[in-house]
Amino acid sequence: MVLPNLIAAIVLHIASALPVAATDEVAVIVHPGTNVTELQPEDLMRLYLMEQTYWPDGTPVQLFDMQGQDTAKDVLYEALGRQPRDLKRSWMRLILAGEASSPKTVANAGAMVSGVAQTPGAIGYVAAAAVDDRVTVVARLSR
Amino acid sequence: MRSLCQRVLWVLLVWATLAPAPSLAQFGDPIRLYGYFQGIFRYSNETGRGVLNQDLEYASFALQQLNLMMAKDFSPSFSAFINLELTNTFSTQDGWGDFRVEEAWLQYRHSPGLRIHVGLQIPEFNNLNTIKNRTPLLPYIARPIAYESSFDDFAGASDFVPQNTYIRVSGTQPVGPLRLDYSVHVGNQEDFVEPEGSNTFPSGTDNSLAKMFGGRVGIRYQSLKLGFSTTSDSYTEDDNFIGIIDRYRFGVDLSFTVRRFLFESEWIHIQAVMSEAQRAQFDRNALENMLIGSSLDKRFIYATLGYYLTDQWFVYGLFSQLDDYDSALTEDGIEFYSAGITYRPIDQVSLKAQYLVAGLDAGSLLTYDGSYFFAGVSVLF
Repeated sequence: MVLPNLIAAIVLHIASALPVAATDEVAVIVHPGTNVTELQPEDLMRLYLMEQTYWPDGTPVQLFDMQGQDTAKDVLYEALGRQPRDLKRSWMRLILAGEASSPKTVANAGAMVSGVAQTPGAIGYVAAAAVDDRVTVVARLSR
Repeated sequence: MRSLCQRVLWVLLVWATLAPAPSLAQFGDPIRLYGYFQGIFRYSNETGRGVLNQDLEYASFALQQLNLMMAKDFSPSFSAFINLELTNTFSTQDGWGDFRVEEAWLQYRHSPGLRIHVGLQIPEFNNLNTIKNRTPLLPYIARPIAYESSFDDFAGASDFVPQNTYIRVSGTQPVGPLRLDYSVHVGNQEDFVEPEGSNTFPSGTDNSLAKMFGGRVGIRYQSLKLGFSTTSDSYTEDDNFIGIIDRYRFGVDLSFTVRRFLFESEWIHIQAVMSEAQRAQFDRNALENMLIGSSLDKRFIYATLGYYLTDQWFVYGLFSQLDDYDSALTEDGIEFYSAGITYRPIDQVSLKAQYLVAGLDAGSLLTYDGSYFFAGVSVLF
């Protein structure tokens, strides 16, 4: 009885250490009013480097970012080829140069979806499983 | 009757002053009002022999810098920005510090590849020039010396890097994973001289035809940033009766991060071009005054190597060297070694500590050793 339990525990431990595609899939989400349905990697780069600060319809872009460490954040930043601290420095430099406004930071996936859903021009990212119909998914990223 | 008219006028005046003007006040996004300040403690211990024959030891608190910023987006194409700067515990009552409008500009943004800024602004030159006074961005309290203007403007920051410009055209062009940046600017030459007691020109007027032109081209790939900068202007070399000198600044900046390491460096060379007559005058001056150096050129380099212990803690070492060939005291170079640590408990607050030593050896003319300890807090609000 002890042996099967031990084997089961080892298998569970190994399984939990492996990357699981479903949990690492990240959805880039926007406020439905932005009238954008799809973003390419280069579009994401321009938006998150704050090179593009307005949507095509003239609505200001409002970036949302996750506070602290987060798997979805890791996936997005990997796709951008940036470390969080580098991007934060770059944002702060633009904000203090008067070229951009501060991103909004949220503590968890629920707050990210709610924040993006309630803020015109908002763009954020969240684990794909956390998305609901209040926001529009414009890109999907995975490791 | 007169009293009634006065009351009506008074009411109209108050209404006109206080009532909102909807068509203007509601135009564009709300104004963004923010800023930062840096308060510091400084301990100095300096020993000078030769020309500077004194020892000096003191400790002092100060509000090194306070900046108030206002930014406003009028539309996707137009925005404006104002940056007011107060330095060195500014107080008109005590006659301390300086207050200045560091930036006030209007931006026309055609696309990321073409932006035009018009108004008072800081020209792009190397990596540090536009952010040299943005204390929340910097781990330093005492900045690399060519950029440091707080402590008696020791190096003469405006000699090394351009301070102001008025028209700037810039942009970023993506090429695959690369970003190509460019910026060109034109403004007044530094150190222009107004005619004394003249009523013809209002103060702050550059009454010369010569202007400062400059620019920077750069390339970015992920965290790697490499740039080449230059300016061309002229200035009046009053000290040596030389007259107006053509001056060219050249700069190279390189910065990148690798894992937790950060590297930043810059090289600046100032080329002062003298005519044959000016060179002859300079040489005559040098024969009469042993403190005059070999030319009017200058050079500055700095390199910082930092390491993020965590996302909050950052440690660094900084080396810089300044060669001012204008003076026999400094043409062999002043070397600065510094180390520091920064703790950022939240994004808006940086606690900083820095130790700096400076050394100069010009033989019998001057030996100088200085050691400094700084502690400070930088707050973004």
